[in-house]
Amino acid sequence: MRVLLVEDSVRLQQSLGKALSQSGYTVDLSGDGEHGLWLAEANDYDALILDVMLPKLDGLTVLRRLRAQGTQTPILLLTARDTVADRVTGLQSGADDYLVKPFALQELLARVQVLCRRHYATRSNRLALGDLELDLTARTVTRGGQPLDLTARELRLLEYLVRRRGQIVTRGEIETHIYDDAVDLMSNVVDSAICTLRKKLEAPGCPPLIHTKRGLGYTLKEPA
Amino acid sequence: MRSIRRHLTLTILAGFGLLLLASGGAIYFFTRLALLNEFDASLRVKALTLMNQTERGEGGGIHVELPDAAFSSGADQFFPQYYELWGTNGLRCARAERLAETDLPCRTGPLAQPVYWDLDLPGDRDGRAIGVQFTLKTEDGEPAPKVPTPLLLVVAADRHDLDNTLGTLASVLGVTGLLAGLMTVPLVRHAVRRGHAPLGELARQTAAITAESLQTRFPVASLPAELQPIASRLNDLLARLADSFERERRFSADLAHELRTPLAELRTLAEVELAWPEGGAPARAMETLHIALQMETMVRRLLELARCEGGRVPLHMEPVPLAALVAEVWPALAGRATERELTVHFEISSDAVCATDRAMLRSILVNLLANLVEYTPAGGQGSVRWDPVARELSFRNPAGELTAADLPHLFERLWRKDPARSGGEHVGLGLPLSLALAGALGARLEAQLGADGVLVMGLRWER
Repeated sequence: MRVLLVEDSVRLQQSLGKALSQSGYTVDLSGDGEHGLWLAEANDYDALILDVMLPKLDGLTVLRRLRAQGTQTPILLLTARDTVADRVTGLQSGADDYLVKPFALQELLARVQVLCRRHYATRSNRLALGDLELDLTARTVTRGGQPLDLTARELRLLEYLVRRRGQIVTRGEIETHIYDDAVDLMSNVVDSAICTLRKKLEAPGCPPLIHTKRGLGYTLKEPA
Repeated sequence: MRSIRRHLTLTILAGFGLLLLASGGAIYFFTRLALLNEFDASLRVKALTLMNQTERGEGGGIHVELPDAAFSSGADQFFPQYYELWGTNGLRCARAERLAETDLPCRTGPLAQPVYWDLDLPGDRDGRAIGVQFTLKTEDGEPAPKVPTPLLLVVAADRHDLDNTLGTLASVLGVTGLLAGLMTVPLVRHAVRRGHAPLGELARQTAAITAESLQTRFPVASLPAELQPIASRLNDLLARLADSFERERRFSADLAHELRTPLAELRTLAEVELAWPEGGAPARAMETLHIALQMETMVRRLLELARCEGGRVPLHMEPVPLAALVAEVWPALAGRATERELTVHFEISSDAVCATDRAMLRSILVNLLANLVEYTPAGGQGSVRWDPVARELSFRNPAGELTAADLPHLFERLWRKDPARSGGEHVGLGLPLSLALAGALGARLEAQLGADGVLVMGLRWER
């Protein structure tokens, strides 16, 4: 899952960025409204965390512009303003959720998770495909009841594929949602990650889950 | 509770009642006076008639010649029903038959000033009498020499008709007054209520105003002239209140933001560290300390501001050389000025001295110089000048993005040009604090934006 955090407090940026990364999200950071809007327009995010009081362009304006452009990405407003009028204004401007500073980190992570789930029209924190089960809260994966040892990035990749089960997922989409800007996307990082994930998922005797569509991408299908 | 409407209604009704009573009383009094005068004139005519009918008999006695029919008819206009005539020696000369054996009181006056009085007539009848003294005259108009002079004559008449007329008048006046009074009550109440309606409406609208409806304004033009000044002042007051409330709301929101953001930073920092511990504890501790110091600075400044605005800061007035004090403050800011490539000129003569509180003036100088250094665009020029004539210390620097519309907000607590309020070094308390300190020192701190885009902060001492 890829999220964009637009927050002008550098300390909050760093802390939340770390927390989101550690929770399995790919995080892009921005410190002002103009840059945040540019990032949101240029990339396909699973969720946006948007501070309201931002330099250059305030968060509500960013929100309205994105909604006016038809962007459906779930957006969580993060702000120190806590009056009912402020919340109503935020929600009526198109925000999906509203969190007042200071907040509990776990609450923020839970809300971001809900927004991402909503993006993929699922309601549970547990994903299943045949005998494969993902617990997004505990960040664990089992197949046939046997726990699998996946890295954070492998878990993100698997979650993304499971959410888009039955669909062909292109390399570009995987790059966008799983990797941040620091990764050299010209490399075969996606292919090698898929290869590693396959090895961990498909132990000898287990039917394959990830299928390659030549020239198109990958698809995750429940074994027949 | 006193009610203007009730007070007005009662006052008008009482006034109207008194007016009715006074009018009725006056009508009755003057009508009675006129009727009595007429009655007395009639008595006088009767007395004169009787005097003319009085003559000396052949034996020297006094004889009154009256036709009996005139007395018995009861419709006499000229002949008295009751009379009695005496000589000066007190001997009765003549008496009306109707008096039988009853004597009339003998009270007389000269013909020019006869005496009138009320009396009881036989048969328990109320009457009125005239008493005159007169002298019998001979046919040629000379006094009769053998008759004792003067004669005393009392003529009386029944005043039953007069009293009936006066009684009827009193009844008519009383009933009319009562009816008028009764009809006046609803009329006055209606008139007062109607006249009072705009005041009541104004009161209702005023009572409905709450902290949430301070944008309400009274329609001054449609109000009566007496209420227009009140409504106009109320509108002014509401505008000031709304402005004050808005400032307070903005202050609360800004304060919440200034406190919530570092609190969020602290909490998130701690929670991330607890959830995903890493090395670098000194760096985290430094971050935490920085946030704590930032919050401490803000709280300290708020407290200083509250103390200063509350007039609880003791003053130690002394002559303070301004150039020396500025030179003492500047080194702490010079580094930042160099970093921002600023050039600051100081034009303060060494003999510039002000009688002031050194510590408070120092605090003002620190704030104003820090603002000059922070908000002058990088590479720009600023100056600090002392004008001995105006007794003003001015701080000049290019205003950058500051506009004339921002000037009224410059001294508001926690106001910042940047709506995002990013960064925690300047929270918008320096200028309000400087303004309060200047006030405590008896000086004035004002901001002006020149047409050339130069901001001038002037600290002026009154002479």
